[in-house]
Amino acid sequence: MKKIMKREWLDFIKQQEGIIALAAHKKPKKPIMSWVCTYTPLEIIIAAGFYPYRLLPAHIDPSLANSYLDSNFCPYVRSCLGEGLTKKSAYLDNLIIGNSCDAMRRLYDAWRHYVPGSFIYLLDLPRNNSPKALEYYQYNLQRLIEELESRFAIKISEDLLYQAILVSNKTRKLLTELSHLYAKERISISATEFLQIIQEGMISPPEEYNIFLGKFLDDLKKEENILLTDSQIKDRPKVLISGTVMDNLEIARVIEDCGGKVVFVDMCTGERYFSEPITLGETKRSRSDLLRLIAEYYLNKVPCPRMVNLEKRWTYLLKVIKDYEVKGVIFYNLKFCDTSMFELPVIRERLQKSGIPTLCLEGEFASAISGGLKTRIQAFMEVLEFV
Amino acid sequence: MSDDFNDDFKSGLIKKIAKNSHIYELGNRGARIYFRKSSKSFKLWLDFLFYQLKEAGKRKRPVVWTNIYTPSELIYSLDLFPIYPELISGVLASVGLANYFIETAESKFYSTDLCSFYRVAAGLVLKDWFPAPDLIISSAQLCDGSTKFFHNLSKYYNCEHYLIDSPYYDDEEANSHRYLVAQLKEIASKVDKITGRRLSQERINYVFNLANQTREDILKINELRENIPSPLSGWDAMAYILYMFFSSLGTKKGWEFYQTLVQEVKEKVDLKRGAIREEKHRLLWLHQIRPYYPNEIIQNLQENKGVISFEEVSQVYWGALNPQRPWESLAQKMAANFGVGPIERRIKVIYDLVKKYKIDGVIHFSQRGCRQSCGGAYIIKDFLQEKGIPMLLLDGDGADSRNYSKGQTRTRIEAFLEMLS
Amino acid sequence: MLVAGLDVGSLTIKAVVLEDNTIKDFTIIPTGAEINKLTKDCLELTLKKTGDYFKDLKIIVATGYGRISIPFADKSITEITCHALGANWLNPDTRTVIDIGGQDSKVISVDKEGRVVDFVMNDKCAAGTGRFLEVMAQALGVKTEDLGKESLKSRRKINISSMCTVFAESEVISLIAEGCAKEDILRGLHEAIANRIGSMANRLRLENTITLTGGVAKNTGMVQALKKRLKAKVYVPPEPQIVGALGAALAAQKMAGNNI
Repeated sequence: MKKIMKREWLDFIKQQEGIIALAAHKKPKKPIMSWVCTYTPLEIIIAAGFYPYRLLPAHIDPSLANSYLDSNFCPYVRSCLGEGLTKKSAYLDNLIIGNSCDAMRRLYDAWRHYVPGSFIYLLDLPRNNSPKALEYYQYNLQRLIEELESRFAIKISEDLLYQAILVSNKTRKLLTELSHLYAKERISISATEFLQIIQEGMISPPEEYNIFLGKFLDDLKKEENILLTDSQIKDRPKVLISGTVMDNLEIARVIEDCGGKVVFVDMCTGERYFSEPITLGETKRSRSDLLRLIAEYYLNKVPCPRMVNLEKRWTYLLKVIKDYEVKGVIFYNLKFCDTSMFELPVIRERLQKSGIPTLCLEGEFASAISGGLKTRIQAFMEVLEFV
Repeated sequence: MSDDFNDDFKSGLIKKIAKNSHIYELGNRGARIYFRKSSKSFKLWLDFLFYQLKEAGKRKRPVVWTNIYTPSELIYSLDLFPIYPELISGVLASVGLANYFIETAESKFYSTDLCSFYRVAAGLVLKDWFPAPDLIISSAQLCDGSTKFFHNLSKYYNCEHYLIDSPYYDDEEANSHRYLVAQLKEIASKVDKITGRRLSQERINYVFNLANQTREDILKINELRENIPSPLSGWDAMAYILYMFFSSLGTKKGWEFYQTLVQEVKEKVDLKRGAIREEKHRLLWLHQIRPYYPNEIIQNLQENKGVISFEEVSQVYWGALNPQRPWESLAQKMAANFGVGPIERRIKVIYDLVKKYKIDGVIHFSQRGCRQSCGGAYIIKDFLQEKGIPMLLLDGDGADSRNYSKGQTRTRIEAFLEMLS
Repeated sequence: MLVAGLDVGSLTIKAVVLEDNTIKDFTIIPTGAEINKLTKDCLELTLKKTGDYFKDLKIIVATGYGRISIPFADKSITEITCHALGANWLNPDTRTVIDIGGQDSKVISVDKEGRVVDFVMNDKCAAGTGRFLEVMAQALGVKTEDLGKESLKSRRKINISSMCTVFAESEVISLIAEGCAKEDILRGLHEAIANRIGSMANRLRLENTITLTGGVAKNTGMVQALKKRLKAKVYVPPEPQIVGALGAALAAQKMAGNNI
């Protein structure tokens, strides 16, 4: 009975997917603006009257784009371009690319050349959160707004921006709550479901998603939905997954099948997607005040390895490890991600020194998980059981 | 004696030796004798290389490790002593030592998919066989790998890392310049605190004037290289000359080097002596680097009468620096880099070079592990093809010889030149 | 005028003897350690068949991976130029040549004179080459020459995701363990290679007619998969393996003609 309740919500997710799929090739209520990097200010997209939509083409083989980008290139970016080349869906008409890495910059070039006719904008991003970087990023946000205003003949007023921040804030608040419930409480949603709920948020109309997630959390908090017993949790080694884009939820399932409990997902399709909401305060603010707040939020949020601040990432990972009693860390990076590959040796060594075992996996994006990968995860779980 | 002890002992000994400046003095003399028949400019480079290594060991001035796209004029103005790990990697590859360091880096989880130059440098650092830096300054221009690599170094050596974050757009409204200027000024004031000295206008004048004079000489060389037959092979330009191009601007030694090089190139032009005996195909080489370990590429080109007439990396993209406005000029130099920003910027420069140097064919060296350059290669190829200029994407690796396949490389080059015939 | 073309490949050596623009005869033998000697033998064998003598050969041109190890050849030319010449001679409508050889595969754009306009080659690994198929045939216990025939029996689509020879082999082994039919796995492999070659071919502006050369072109399953992937007019010469050697012989003929 209780299980059915949860299922109902998970069914809703599927339905939700239906909504956006509908939006994608039939007539959506609002136009769609796609994004690819979590440093893209969704508030501005919402304020401009668009549905934000994250490109996550897990069904597109990266090699489709091999005629346009080298095969030693980020497979996520190649899949995105591959989907762009199909020109099949409405969400491919508009795209904002964050200048987060070499792969994104080249996606911007390739998209302009090989997917003509679409709106595309590259938002420049600083690599740290110094006051100067903040000022520069705020200026770039201003430019983005001007570009959207002139291109789509709209006006993004303070009021629209304010309302949009409220919507995004609500999502952040709910997701933060979900993340706590998921990791700390004994609710029975699997890691796969957890990630699926987060990812749905990236491709769904934000307000509808907020309503759904609010109801979902209310239900989860009801006594009868707390299903796991203490011993069920205690016996399972807690795992942190750290990496780039999770293209294959199967990996989380394999970890849990092998007896692990994924407590935190440090990925940009996981818990790097949201942080604590922006504090707006009571008084009404000017557009530049609001942009300042948005800029601060994005540059201060949980950093992606693209940011040049290893200590900040390390402190945050360490905190997660302590708070959630993490036993082992699984790195899952997509191949050819330079920023992650450079960070890995340093973080990994520090973890080893702190007595936290690590497993390093590489993903090809949009491919089935191999027997070899399963064996490695299983062996790692066996290691953790003895730690 | 156990093997472990033996290894520790050896490694300790090498560390001691490698950090002793006398060893570089000896090395310098040895190299001078070994290369006695080489050109004067090559010997001047050898002296410069060993001078850098010697001085870094003496530590009279703060040693800064920096990357090639940090203007060396900044470093010398701040009276710091630079070491360029990227360039050192190239030198190590050319003497056949790269793979040793690469393996060290890979054993410490540096992925084989990363740029091999940084794997060499990481290995060198992990072995601790090199004078440590007091400070790290790096520019984020062009590639992510560099930024992250230099950041890691600051962790290994427990020192500060000043990043010059680089804006994507070369903004007319000068906001991206403003961001660069603010960062440069901040670095200068922080360095002042470290050195305990104040940045002097006199020093800036001295360094900038030298840099400007050197820039004039490079421009002269680039002009001379328009001559047919090509007086200077890009193969050399991308080796020791490139080392000077990135690391010596703003020094007296750098200026002397380029003055000598101008003479050498001019002599060849006057004698109508080309870099190769029979020049049939004039080629433009794309990418900052070429393979440095022993390889047959240049022979393959020569046998088929192909000469690298020019290479994009030698393009002087910046204007003369103004010592009265040092930060603005340096920001302008950085912002003018055509490798930054939309690909059209690079394409424009490439096409200008094709016309200027009467290029028959273009080779893009697709360095494995390089995203920034390879990511734009197809767009460049499409553009050039429309203009009737054939382009070869030559897969390879600049420092990791394990990724070099002699036969396949030869086939690609020969087929390309057969196609140009 | 009698000339010869030699294609010294990584798996086989091919010799073609050409007289006045007509193929007199050809020989294909497997490659071994002594490339120079084997190539000589291959040529002698062909000459025996035609009843000619080595000294009658005006010009000998060598191509292929081992082309530079042949001292008795007058010139060496890359297989890219040779495949273009050979394919053009066999079918003047050829605008694209796809050569799937033992160690590498290439796609070549050709003009109506048989000149190379552009070309691409595979990465340095064996994925999408004859060698790759050989390894897979071994893993499946199928003879190399039966690969195509077997794969055409397939009724079910299986996706093979790995293209690395080592990984694909283990993937194939686990598919066998799961009870998948040989022919389905084979079809999956052929489709995977076709996709890989297809995406490589797309780097060039593909134009009809596409001529398939190299040993793998004898594999009917591979030809089918490629036709499907490329959606183009595909021409397979009767002896696809000798196109490189033929091209070398044609180059030799041209050289000899110029000398007269």
